[in-house]
Amino acid sequence: MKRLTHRIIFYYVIFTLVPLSLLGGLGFVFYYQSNLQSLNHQFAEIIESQSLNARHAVTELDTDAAQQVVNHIAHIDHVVKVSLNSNVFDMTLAEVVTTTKNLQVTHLSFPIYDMDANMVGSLDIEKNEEAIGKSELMSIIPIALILIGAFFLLGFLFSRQILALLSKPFYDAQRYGYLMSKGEIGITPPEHQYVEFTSLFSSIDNLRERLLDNINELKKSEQRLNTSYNLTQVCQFVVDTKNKTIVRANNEFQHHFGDTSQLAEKYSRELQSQLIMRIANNKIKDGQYYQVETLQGERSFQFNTTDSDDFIIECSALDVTSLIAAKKELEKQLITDSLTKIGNRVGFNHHIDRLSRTPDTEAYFIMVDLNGFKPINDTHGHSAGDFLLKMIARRLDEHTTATRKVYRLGGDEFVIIVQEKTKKSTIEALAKQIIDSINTPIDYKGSSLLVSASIGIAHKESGNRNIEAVIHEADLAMYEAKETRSGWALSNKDDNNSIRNY
Amino acid sequence: MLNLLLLVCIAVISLSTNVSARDHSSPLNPMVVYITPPSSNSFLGLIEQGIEKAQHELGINVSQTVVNHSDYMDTVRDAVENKYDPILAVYASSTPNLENFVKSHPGTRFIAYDISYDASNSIGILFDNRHSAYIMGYLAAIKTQTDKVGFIGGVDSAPINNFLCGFELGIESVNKEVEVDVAYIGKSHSAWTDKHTASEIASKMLYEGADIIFPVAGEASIGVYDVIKEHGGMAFGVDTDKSAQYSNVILASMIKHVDKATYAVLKQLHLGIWNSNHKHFGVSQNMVDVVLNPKHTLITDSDMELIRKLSDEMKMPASKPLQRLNKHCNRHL
Repeated sequence: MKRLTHRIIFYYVIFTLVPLSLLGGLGFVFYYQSNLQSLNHQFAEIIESQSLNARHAVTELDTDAAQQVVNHIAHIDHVVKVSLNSNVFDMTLAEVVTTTKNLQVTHLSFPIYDMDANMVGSLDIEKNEEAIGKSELMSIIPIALILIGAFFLLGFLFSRQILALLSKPFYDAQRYGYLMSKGEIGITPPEHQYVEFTSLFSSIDNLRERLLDNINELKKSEQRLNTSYNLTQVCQFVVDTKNKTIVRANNEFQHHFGDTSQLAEKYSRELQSQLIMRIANNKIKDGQYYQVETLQGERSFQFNTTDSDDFIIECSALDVTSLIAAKKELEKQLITDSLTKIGNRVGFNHHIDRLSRTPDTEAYFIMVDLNGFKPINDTHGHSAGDFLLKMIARRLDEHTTATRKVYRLGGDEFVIIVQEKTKKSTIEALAKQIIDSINTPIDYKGSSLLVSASIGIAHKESGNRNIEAVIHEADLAMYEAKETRSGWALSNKDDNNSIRNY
Repeated sequence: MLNLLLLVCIAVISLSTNVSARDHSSPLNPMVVYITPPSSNSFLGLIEQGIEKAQHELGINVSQTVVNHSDYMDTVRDAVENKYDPILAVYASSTPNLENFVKSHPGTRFIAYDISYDASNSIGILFDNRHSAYIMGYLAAIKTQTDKVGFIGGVDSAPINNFLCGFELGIESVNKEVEVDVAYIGKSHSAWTDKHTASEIASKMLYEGADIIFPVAGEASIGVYDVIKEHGGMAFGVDTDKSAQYSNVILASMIKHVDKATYAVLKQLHLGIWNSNHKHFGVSQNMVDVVLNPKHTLITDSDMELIRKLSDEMKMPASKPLQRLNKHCNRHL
């Protein structure tokens, strides 16, 4: 990962220090060159300027003047030895050395002429040419080193300043972001004097405030949601099928299944784990009713499940126990005769429907019609008639078993469906029992009420799909019995297609 | 007196035909008066060499005479009267009454050695001995084993003390413990030849523990060398290289190119140039230098290098020895 500060320092070096160093280097080269030139120039100039004095000294034996000449020349850099020799007086007029070191020297001899161009002497100079460049370099190097050092120092200081300048805001930004990401959004952003950072932080601050607003909104809606979540009559809960736990659950769920926390009672945990296992094993399907064991006993729930994620199932369960009970009651009322409390025509029709769906079932239809009911109704009133019907229905209902059902088809007409594969004699015995039980008088407010019964029996054999026809036969048999006053008649359509009378 | 002078008079110069047109001066008729005959390898011998060169190069004739030292001034006076010009006064520094004489004879030019007079008719040939004497002192301080050295001057005069000053400074710059025993042979120019007194003083110095003696006493120095040669010790030569005769005695010699100076001054007068009343010669002019005696067992190669370095320093205005010399020792005028 690149670092911004490194980049800044890199560009600073590239665009300032490097060009400056190059320029400085060039400057030094030029300075060095011009120094050398001026040195040569200076040398020639001094020799030239001393030529008159030198001539005077060598022609007039003036050692003091000669001394001045050589001293003058000795002051030139790199001159090691100067001597002014006079040809006229055959001697050295003055000699100066500038160092006692044994150096490699170049001998230079400048002849001195008098007015008549006679050579009257010479100026002999020993010069340490070797040192010329070196000493110039040596004079430059400290400055160059100081400059380089200054550049490095500048670079170092710049780097430090930049790092110090940038690291704080970036650190603050990082820390601020970290705190915000950790959810500590209540803090205000750090203050910075630079407009760039101020604007950066102010935009972050805007973001933070927006976030804060959103969080508040979220909290409010969560509160609302929680309220409805916990107020609702529907159990809402989330199941983790992998870890076999309840992730969360609302109050209604806890009402039925107890606390979902670890501190829950053992029984609650058992109930919950039963439910979790059923959901995990796909025993509970969406939109259906199930009987579930709860703290309040077995209850019915309608389940809705949503697989929101792997192993996570969001569920809702509506307690429909009372609803189902009401529904059952209603259904029962629908098929029950309101007076006699036995099955009515609707119940009968339902029974027929069920039978028609299973054509292989054998059944006997026993039609029972009361004789003498109307006069009782007329003489003793409807309430006596109703009482009678109730009593008769009770007596018929005594025959009700799992395979024998009694219905009141209307008025004084009843039917018994015997769904048994039995001999006719059994049915005939049953018919006799019914007749006998109906013929037993009934006490009603001090008077004895007596009715008789006419019974028509039809047999629906296995494979017979035409139940209506069977019922009709039973009706016909019943009418025959009524006409013949024989008590009961058995339709024999199945055998010779005739009604037998007894 | 005049007879003596005439006896030794030498022929007159013949004018050379190729004298330059610039040369407007009258032909020179110089005279030099000696007390002892100039022997080679001595101060006077060097003067003699210079004169010979002048005679040969410039075609001038220099008259010479050797007289008793008591007759010296008379001889000079006679030379003036006989129109000799210039007179080479080789004993000027040890002849105090010469100054008045020079001043009272403005018509005659005098070349005075080792002294200069405030007179327009004299030119002093002055040697700056400090520098070489310093080197001698330096060497003496290195070589002495007794930390005691002797200095024997011809007379107690400015040029001699010019030597002494440099010598003492040179010793001091090496070792401040070294003691310098100073003595002078006499008070007049006769001292320059008094070998007997010189050897007496030297013996005394050796007896007192000095092992190196620096005699600056002209011919008389021979007496010192002889004593040392006999009794052991070391010495320095002056004016010329003395090592040939005293190879076991002389450590180094301080050579003064009096010959060159004499020639140069004579040539100057010959060219008709008179621009000051003194000419100053020293190490800068290579007129005074030091030569070691390589035959002496105590002289090593490092001494050679040391002398070269010191000699260079004497020509180096920025060197410390030169600055100290300039500070502590007068430039003898």
